[in-house]
Amino acid sequence: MTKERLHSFSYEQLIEISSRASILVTSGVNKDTLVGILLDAYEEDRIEREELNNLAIQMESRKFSISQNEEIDLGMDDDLELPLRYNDTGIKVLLRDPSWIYCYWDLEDKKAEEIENTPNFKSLLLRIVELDSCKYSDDDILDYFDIPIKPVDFRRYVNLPSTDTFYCAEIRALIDDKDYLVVRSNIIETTREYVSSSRQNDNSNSSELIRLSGFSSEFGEAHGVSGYTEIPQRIIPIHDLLDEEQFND
Amino acid sequence: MIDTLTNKKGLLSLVLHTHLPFVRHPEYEHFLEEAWLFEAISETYLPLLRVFDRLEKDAVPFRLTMSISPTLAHMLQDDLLMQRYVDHLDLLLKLASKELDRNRHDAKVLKLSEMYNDFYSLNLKEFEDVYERNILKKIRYFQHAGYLELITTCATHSFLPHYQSYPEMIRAQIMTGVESHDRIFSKMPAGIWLPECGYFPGVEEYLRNYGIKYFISSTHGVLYAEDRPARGVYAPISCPNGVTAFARDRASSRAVWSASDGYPGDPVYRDFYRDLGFDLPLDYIAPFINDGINRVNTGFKYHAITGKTNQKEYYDGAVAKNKAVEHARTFVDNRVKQCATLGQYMDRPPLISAPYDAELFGHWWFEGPDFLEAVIRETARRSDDLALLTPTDYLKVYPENQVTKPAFASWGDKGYGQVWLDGSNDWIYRHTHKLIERMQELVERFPDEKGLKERTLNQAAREVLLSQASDWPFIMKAGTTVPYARKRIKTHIHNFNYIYDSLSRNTIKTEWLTKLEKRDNIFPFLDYRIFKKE
Repeated sequence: MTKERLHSFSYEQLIEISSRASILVTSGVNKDTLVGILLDAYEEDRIEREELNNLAIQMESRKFSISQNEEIDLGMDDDLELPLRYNDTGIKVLLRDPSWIYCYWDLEDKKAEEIENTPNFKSLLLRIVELDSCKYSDDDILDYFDIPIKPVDFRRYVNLPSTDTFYCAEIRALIDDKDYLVVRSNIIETTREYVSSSRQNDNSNSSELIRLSGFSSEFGEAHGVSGYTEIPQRIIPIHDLLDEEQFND
Repeated sequence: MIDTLTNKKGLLSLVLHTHLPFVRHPEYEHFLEEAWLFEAISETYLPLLRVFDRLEKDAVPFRLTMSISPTLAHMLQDDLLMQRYVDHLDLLLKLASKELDRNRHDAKVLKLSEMYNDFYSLNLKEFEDVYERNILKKIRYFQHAGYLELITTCATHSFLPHYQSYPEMIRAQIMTGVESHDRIFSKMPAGIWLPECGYFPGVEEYLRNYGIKYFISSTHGVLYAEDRPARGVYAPISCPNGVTAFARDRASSRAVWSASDGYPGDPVYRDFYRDLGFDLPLDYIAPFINDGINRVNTGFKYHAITGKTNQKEYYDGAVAKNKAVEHARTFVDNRVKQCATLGQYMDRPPLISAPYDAELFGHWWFEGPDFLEAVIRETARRSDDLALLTPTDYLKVYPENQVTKPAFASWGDKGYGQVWLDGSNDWIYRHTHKLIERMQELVERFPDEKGLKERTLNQAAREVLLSQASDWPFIMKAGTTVPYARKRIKTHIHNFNYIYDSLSRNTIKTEWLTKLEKRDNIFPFLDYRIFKKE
């Protein structure tokens, strides 16, 4: 963002820009100071973004870099406003990384009303269920935990306790002291974040080759290569490695 | 070939991924974001074709893999966009002429104005006279001549892991990508670039169904495979169904990617950020920037990186070119050393897979094409040590590879799906998922339509695919041109929902539909039944 670009906006527009970007400005601040505050904020934001992105992403973003002036949209695109929800009953789970999922859900108005009007209805719960397989069966439930939700909630990120296993999410209604299934999501398979242990017939050099691939050879104790592992066997998170410099280009 | 490759000390597979999202706005006379394409043609695609030409002329053997996304390929064949590219070049040549006049008394700067005048004149001449506005023709030529292996990617470059609960959508993205590639390049692709290297276990089943034999994986996608990869990332692994994963080597990418400690940050290289669009007074530069008001990069950059200072030195093209050659030699030398180290532990020559966004070469790193050319020449010179090859070449020599399942991974920050799913962009999935469900419902309701209704349904399918481009959530996360990205997603969702409602009411507005078909004209062959539930 350039000073000149910000100065091209009216004072009221600059106030609107600050407000949309959640930048607090003291009332009565003059235009020059306001421009200075915004420039600092844009620069801080840019540096933060650069630091948060890895090299592949920084590289990719440069394809879209045609101006030093960030696009500022002061328009109100009301005609393109999307519905907040679609008034149907469903829940979806997306795997974000080995430890986090994103859930979003919706309850049809009629269904929500029916639940809320049930005598002794207490609350809604988001239940995260860990499973032993990719198909749901009561027998395959390994563990679960509940998160209380409000009728106005429609989404949530959830931290998962285990990697390399299966999860699904459910919306449940707590009535009296019992909970009842309202809707169940798709099942997702979480991933490993470790190098599997070697097997007897493995190439004896595999540890060295894996180290040279970007990992330390200190893998610790052997651990399962698949299936349920209750404690995450995280050895060395990939983003903590500095090994790229090993060939010192 | 088998003898030749098995005798090498190391193998190097360079993969250039070319992609831009579908950006085409006939409803406006000029549209800022169309410049993404124009800059990539000028600074990356045409210079790369020149590199290939020179190598061919000098009989330098080379084998490269290039993935060309269906959206980019479509835009490169679009008459309107190609006319606009010519107009864009005409405008830049007007600026060059103005610059030649302005700098006529300053020999140093004049030389730079001449450089850009020559550069854009050559681009225009070649684009019009040699390629006849169709650079894909030349890419096809290099494919047929055996220099390039062309592979595809998903139809609209969708980040597949976030859609894995919709098998029909994964199928639609892959099938449309393969079909589009086949129609344009007259050859089925053997490999695929999974957008953002986004792999999830099971995607290989869809790939195999469309004849795909391999994909490019992030490093940890292979390292965290179900079984320990016995050769690290220096040989591919085979999924149980036979589709092969080639993992990115991290050592070879950092040197080329990093602005701080990689080659592109060298002080003598051209500075990407200093541009006449921002350096010159508004009244002078107004005819060459957006609407004459909003400053944008013009492509005329007169300064070298110099260092972390605003007092930049003028750029010297000859010095920079020499530096690119020097860096290329270092790069090859380091790969040879890397292979020598790896070779001690391996039962076959180590393979270094080095995938890059093609637009890095030229657009951001101006000297990138020179670097690439020098890498190829240097590799040919040191052919006893290192050989360039494509994944298909490798699989011909080593068809048997360790069988195991890769792990969910991407090449994004932190290695998984975070870039395309966070607070800035998670709102889109409720809608894009809904679109898939509604599209499937439409296929069930209208399984065999003809005429206007079929056209409407095909357009609905196009809008569904366009809404899924990984670029829009990426831009929201990266923070550049966010309002445009938001608007694009919303527009495709809105268009689809309008069609959905119209079909429900049986009131299709032909005029509106025709207008939309003309605007979002990608995949003319698309059949909406591609979304049929299995």
